[in-house]
Amino acid sequence: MRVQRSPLHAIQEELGASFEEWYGWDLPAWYGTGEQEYAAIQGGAALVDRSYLGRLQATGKDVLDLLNRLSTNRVVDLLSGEAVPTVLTTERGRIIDLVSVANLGDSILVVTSPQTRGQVAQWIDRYTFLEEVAVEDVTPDTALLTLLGPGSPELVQGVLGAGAAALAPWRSTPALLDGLSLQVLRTDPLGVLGYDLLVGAEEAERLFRHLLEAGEPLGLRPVGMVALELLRLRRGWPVHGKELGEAYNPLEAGLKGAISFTKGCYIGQEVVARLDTYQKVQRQLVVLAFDGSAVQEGDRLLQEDREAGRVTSAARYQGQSIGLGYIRLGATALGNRLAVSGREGTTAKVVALAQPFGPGEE
Amino acid sequence: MTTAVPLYTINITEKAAEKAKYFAQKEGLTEPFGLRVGVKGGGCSGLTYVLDLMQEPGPNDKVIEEHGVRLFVDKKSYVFLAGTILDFSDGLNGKGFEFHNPNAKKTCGCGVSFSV
Repeated sequence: MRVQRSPLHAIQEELGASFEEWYGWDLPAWYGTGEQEYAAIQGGAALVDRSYLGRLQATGKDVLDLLNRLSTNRVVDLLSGEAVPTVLTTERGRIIDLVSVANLGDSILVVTSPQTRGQVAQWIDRYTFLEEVAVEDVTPDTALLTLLGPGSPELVQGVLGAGAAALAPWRSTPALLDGLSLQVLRTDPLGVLGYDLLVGAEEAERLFRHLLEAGEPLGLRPVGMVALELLRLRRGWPVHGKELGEAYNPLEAGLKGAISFTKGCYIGQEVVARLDTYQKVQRQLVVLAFDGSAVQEGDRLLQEDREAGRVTSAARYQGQSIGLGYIRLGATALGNRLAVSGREGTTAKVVALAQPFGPGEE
Repeated sequence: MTTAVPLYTINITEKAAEKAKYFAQKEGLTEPFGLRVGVKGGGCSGLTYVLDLMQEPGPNDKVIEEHGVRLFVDKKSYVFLAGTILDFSDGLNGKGFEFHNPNAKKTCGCGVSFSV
């Protein structure tokens, strides 16, 4: 497939970004250095282009009812301005995708993984019978800019007003900026205080420039994928193709916080409920810190010479190597050290359980 | 094994037809009314059955008549329902209207949801 480009590619080039392919998109790896950019997310404000995420616009009176029957979280009564993460699952309780569903008032926005927007649209269509549901892929017509970090509310307040800045997590509001209309969603991506700004593709560059200018006194930095990936691994956020897909169920992926156990039936519900009730989950996604030589995706992890799991993502940061992996239960105790198969002397320490949306309902 | 079930249509048993008429009368529908049979996404196994009394069929519905009852089936649902017999089981342990669907490969615990 042809590598896709964001509507912000030109300005990113102008800002001196180094490009790399991520998720089938040609995206900035970094503008300055990964370290500076990681620090901006942690202690300042960061501007990230997340236009690579899929965006489906669903309309019709039955959209929320249908999505409620196809996914794990309760979405049926989402009010205008509310959003939730939810997982589309197969009848075997396996993951099709982790998406966010936002009620924007006149339509429902479904944000998918980068590679799954076509698949998610098809899945919804497959289960649309008599319902009034129309799904349009608006990814090419829109852009998704994300402001991250503790400095982002001040910037949002200055640029888009107090109402947008004061949004609670998983709430959205429309906003205006110099006649440019956009949607502001506070979704705290990767577990960091942050806002997603959904804007028309043609207006994306104007918004990007405006934010950079307004954010300069606050130390706002454009941030590339390298820093974002480090944050993702540290925070234990799974991505499709590595930690999410039909090989996994939502419970082992740590997505219990995106599952409602009381809302009733959805495709895969019986399996997910059984896994939970009878504690049949076999493995768990964990954050790993590696010690020794470079570790790669797919590396096998051993406990007393027996396979205990596999590395699904890995990256190096300031000489330290971190990653994510699925580990069988019984080897997931925090601090537990596993050997990395084929890499003499290298170990993987379990640092945290991946729980992007918290521990979930009890 | 041979089967007497005529495939590629949807049948309603006499008992189910009688019950449908009884409920239609209760709901104040006038003859000829129809029974919408269909499927929708959801339920543990992927699809669940739809059953609804209505006066008129939709513009693209297939209409099947048996035992004095018209069945309205939309085309997409028909693909999943061809060969189905709609029955009614009463009594204390009865399940009410029941779909005997030869396309269902797997049915969920409560029998409401199926996959093909």
